[in-house]
Amino acid sequence: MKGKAIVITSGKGGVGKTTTTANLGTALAMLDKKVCLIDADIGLRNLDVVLGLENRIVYDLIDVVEENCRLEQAMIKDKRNPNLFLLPAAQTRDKDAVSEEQMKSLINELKEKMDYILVDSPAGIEQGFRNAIAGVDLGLIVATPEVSSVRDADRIIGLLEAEGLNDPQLLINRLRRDMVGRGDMMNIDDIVEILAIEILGVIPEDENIVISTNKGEPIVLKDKAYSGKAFNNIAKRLEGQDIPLMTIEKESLFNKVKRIVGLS
Amino acid sequence: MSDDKAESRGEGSKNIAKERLQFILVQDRIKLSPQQMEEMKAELLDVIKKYIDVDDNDIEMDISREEEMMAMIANFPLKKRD
Amino acid sequence: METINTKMTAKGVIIDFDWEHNFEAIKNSLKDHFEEAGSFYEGTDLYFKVGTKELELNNFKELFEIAENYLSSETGIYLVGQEDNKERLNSSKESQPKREPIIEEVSFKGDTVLVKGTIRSGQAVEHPHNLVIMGDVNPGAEVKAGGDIIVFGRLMGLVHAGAGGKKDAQVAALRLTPTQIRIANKISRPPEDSNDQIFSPEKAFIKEERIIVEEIDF
Repeated sequence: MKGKAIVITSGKGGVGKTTTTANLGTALAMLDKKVCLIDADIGLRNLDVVLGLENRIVYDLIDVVEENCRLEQAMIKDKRNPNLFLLPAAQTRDKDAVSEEQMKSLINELKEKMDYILVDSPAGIEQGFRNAIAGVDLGLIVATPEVSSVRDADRIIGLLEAEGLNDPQLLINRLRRDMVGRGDMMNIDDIVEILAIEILGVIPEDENIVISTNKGEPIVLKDKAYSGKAFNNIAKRLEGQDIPLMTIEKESLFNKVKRIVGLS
Repeated sequence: MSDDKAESRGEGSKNIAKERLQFILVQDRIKLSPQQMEEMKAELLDVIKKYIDVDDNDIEMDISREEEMMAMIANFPLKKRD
Repeated sequence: METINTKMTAKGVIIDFDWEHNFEAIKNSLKDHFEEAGSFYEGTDLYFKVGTKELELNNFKELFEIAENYLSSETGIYLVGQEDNKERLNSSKESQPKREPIIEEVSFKGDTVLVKGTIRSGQAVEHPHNLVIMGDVNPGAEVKAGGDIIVFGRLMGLVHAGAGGKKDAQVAALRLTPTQIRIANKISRPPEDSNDQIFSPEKAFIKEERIIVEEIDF
């Protein structure tokens, strides 16, 4: 097996990297792919909590690189999906406890066992970020439709390209149809035009995400949730299926009418 | 573009966001501060003025990203012959 | 001997209890002593010499509460056992934990360490023998001891008692809602969807190769 390693990154914090990693990983596992999620945010681990696996952690990523345990011992099997594994970050250590070389060889080892390796990157562009992108094949940039987030995304795209990670893809998170409709939020085209990279998916703002995080259950497990469907579609696109972007930003009727009568 | 302009066109704040971003990103990408931009503009103008007569008041200079590359586009209107 | 005796040392003040007297008398003398002392103990550390006496959980707590009422938060309070004679005390602070938290503490070989304050996410406290924590252990924090671990507060993080393999080690807390409990080589986590509404102190120990949690009867 030769799996694909993908880093989920953003530059800016709080845009939904961890939520995206948890849900995209679960969605890929539901497509019968073997997936390992790596929490690369050493010292500020969270992926375990979003997946509801925090009380199963015995060994972590640092234990693996320091050879306190074997890789398999540290990989926590998801309680719902036997295809999904989590390699948690250490909580009581700092970013310097692991090096880029160690991450690279860890990912290469995992590629032999898994179809996908998703690395949840810490915010920022420091060593933690450098560790997270070491050895991966693709960068997925998460951005929200805000000036600060898009600006940071642009910076990250430049840094990824400088590291030879060309053609990163974009995930737009927390898009609000109502705000886009009345012209108070940048739409997909605006952001794609500015960043000039390929878009892989759009996730609508959804309060169910907060609820699912509270419970430690990824939203993709909920059939009805709109945001869950978005993650499932993104997983299918990663698998090469041709799924059109959801039309979450259809013009509101009011806007159409305005245009017809020539107000805008 | 000013806030008023965008608002008077009956559009929300997203265009302001977009225009601000485009401006910020140009600076981020070429690592040039607004002040340095102004200095460059002035120096370029001096050079051009050595050879041709241009109208100081109507010069436009902009850096934009087109597909795969960034480009600086400058407009130096020539002075009308009297 | 009086109910309590005090001794000044270079490290701080040692308070020696005479357990021949009943606990109420000891408590009252301690209170009176602090009343008289006023601000005398500002900035010095206190060592409660408990000797070989096995104090009950709530007795410990009462003694600390009395002290806390009279002392500023900078004053450290530590427990000293029997084998810690004066020489040991003078050469104290020798076995520091491996990953040092930002929490004040002092260690005595072969004895109990008291840690004051909340242990937060990302902080780790480690000690080769018994550990007493005066405060909460938050989720994401790790507490590890070669012997018993007692938490005067809410235990929500990861706790490992008997880390060197001591199977009769125990974990006790005023509220025991940990992410994970480990005792010696056994690991246990709270059951899924457990809605822990027990507000009384609990203790965890190994019984027939399994970790058992029980309410503590006072």
